[in-house]
Amino acid sequence: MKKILNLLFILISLVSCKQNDEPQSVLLRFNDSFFSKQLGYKTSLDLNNIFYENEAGNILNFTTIKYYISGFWAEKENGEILKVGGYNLIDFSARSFEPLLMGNLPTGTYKRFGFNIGVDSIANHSDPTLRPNSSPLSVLMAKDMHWDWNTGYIFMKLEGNYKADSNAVSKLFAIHIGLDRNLVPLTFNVPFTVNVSSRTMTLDVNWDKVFNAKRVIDLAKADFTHSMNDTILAPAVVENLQSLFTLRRVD
Amino acid sequence: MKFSLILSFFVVFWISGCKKDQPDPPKYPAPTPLDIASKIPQGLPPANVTSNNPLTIEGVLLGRMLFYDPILSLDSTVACASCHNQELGFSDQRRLSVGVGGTLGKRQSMSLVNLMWRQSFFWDGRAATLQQQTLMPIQDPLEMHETLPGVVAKLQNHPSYPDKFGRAFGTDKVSEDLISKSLEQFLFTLISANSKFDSVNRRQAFFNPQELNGYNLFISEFRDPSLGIKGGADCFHCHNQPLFTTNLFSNNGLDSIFTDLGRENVTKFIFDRGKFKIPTLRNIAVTAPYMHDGRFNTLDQVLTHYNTGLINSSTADPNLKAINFGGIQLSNSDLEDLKAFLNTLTDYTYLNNPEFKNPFK
Repeated sequence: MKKILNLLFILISLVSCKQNDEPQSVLLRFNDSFFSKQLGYKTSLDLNNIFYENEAGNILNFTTIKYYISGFWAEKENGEILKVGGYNLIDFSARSFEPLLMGNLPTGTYKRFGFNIGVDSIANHSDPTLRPNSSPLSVLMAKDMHWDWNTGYIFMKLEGNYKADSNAVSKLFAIHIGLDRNLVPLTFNVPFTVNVSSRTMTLDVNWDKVFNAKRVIDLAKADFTHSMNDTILAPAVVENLQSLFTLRRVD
Repeated sequence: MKFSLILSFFVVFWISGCKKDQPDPPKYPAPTPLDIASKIPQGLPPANVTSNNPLTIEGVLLGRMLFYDPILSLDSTVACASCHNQELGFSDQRRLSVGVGGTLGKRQSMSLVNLMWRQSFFWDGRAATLQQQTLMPIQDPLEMHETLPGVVAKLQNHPSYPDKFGRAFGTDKVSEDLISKSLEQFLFTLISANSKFDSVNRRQAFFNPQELNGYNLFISEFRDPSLGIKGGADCFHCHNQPLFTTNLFSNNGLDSIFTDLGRENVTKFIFDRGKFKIPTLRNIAVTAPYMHDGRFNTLDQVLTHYNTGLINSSTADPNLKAINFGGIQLSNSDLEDLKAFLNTLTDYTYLNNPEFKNPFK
């Protein structure tokens, strides 16, 4: 429906006026890759079937990748910051290749943009039962991405199997990033233009960065975190998540 | 020429058709809408009814009758209620449910509660909607062993059911679609949020010290015993409030060799082997026996499983961190407290609500 509306909007704007100043709906498109392998899968089935070797020599696969993207903003040349993004839940098990709709930005040039991995502290401490069932923050949509008591939403959930090295026994890993302090605000300092033919940000998502960016993570040393009471694994992953996304192009 | 001929034919047909369609006065008055949204207690998500099936007083009543009427089964011996007993949280105390002719089912009957927010049905999730689900036990040879045409014919020839369908749906022509819709309407009204836990959540009551310790264990993480820090029971990952289920599927460490493949039977996906629907814990104290195969007769046995009996396998839930230690390793008194908290999830008004009782009695 949204797609049709967008299409209609584009068609109408193309037809009605050539110099278009109408706000444009801005999209985020993710180009996921795992350890230099471009993602060719259509469903989560293949995700489970692909094993990788990370920098620490762990052989691993992912069985679950779920995360929130929220708080999209863009800074105009005059320094004004426009906040347009709502909350989006990305779940590889129900993966669609539709880009995420961030909201409308006026036509023009911008200095930079950004968004968060996770949800802001106000939403994080709000009551999910008060959200409409269609909201990514609702009980029915969040499912296992919300802990009710005091931690709030799980910003990112990464689960899978690993072997410490190729000869080791297979174990489970579970990395659940949550808590306000672990929100990952990302800024992309790349000037860009928004108009009818330039409104989709394509970002490369390199999942190997989770284990190897500023910090090299060896699952054999710590394979499990709920972020609470954790000063080792969760902070290291959060640091690495700064490098998860890189902007490929805007078009 | 040809075109105008066709056109005139069309016009004639249209006019005559129009005349024929002069509606008879409706045989049945419009059913009375049931505003279920206003009946959702604080603490549960917003109403989540199916758009093609708005709830009505008459539709819910018809569904309730069908739920309790063994006419849905081949030989009129088994009703939905035979395996979903209200006093037991709409579950079955038998390990495996008994169908027509005494045949045993394959799995334990699931409890029924807050179905509006359940996102798939059966232990393996093979029905995506409640409307699909309701027709499946009718046709299952291990359950009611009937056919849909058989049920439709029996209801159509019944002295009073056609009239009840008319009052609920405006037509006295019985169909499988309307059978499933009326059952769904009744089942959607089975809402429970009046347990002691809910009262505490609404700040209308307090846990006693035992229940409070149990609650804190429920929502706390397991800790490696070698760290010397007291850990929790780690229940909240899969049984998070307010539904006490994530609606997902999990292998909770019961077995390493699977006689029942569970979710894999539906998805044909080897990574789903031995995974089953995470059941809600609402009314858990009265819904024994437990697990998909009813292997545990008591809550004590269930807690012992999580405490010392976890078995690892390739699809075991990664949230069962305690699996590497065989279980959550709580003391007996902590287990008692955990059980005390689980007992606060029993909603006695739900178990005794006259609106859910057998309408034929």
